[in-house]
Amino acid sequence: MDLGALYDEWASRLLGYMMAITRDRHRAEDALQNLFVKLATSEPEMREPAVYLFRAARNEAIRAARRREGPLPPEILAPATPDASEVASALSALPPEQAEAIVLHAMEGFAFREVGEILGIPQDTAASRYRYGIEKLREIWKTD
Amino acid sequence: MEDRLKSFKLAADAAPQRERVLRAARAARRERRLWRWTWVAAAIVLAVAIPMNLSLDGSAPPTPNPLVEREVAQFPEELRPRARLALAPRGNPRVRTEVESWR
Repeated sequence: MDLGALYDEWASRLLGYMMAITRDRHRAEDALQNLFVKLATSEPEMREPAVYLFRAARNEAIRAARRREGPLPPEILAPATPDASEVASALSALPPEQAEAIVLHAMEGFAFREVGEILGIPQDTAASRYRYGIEKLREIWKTD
Repeated sequence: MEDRLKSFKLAADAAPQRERVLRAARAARRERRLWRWTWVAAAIVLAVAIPMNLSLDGSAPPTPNPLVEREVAQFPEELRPRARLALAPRGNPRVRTEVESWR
């Protein structure tokens, strides 16, 4: 396993996802390092690398995060436009599990089956979390 | 609205941590491999070196000594030693030769 190539391909997205969970850059960086140490020592066979890595990243980030509080850092969203801050603050107003489903499905392009695998929940639950989240976002943006 | 969300991707600048993370990961991998070889070496010692050493030390099962057996056969039945212990000395051939020559 070429760790350098793996890092170059995935680290930016994984760090963004970990920051979305921890809401703290330093904790997310520590979690990213732990993730790569585990990948280096266990050398897993990844049939679906994206799903595997996001799931492993989530586990590490949850371990590193004491609690999920505070706003979603807007710097995890690209492109860095003024709209990114607005989207980040709207996602921060959602329950974390709904925001996570939206980030994974809408922004990262995972199918609901994959979102379910990453979050460790059934596909239908992932889909319903996404829909509830979207409804809440509509309300938030309507009132704005 | 979903299009608005889809226009964003998760991306945080991970370049500053690259060297630190990869150094830690490679060190962990080296350590893991070292441990693996340590266990392999330990397994070889247990499986090969110790049994070989014991066999060279003469801890093979005892062989009956014909001289002793012949002598014992001349005893009346009630005086024969009961086989609570081995009748022949444990098998270091060098020691046995010395004892036999002494006798």
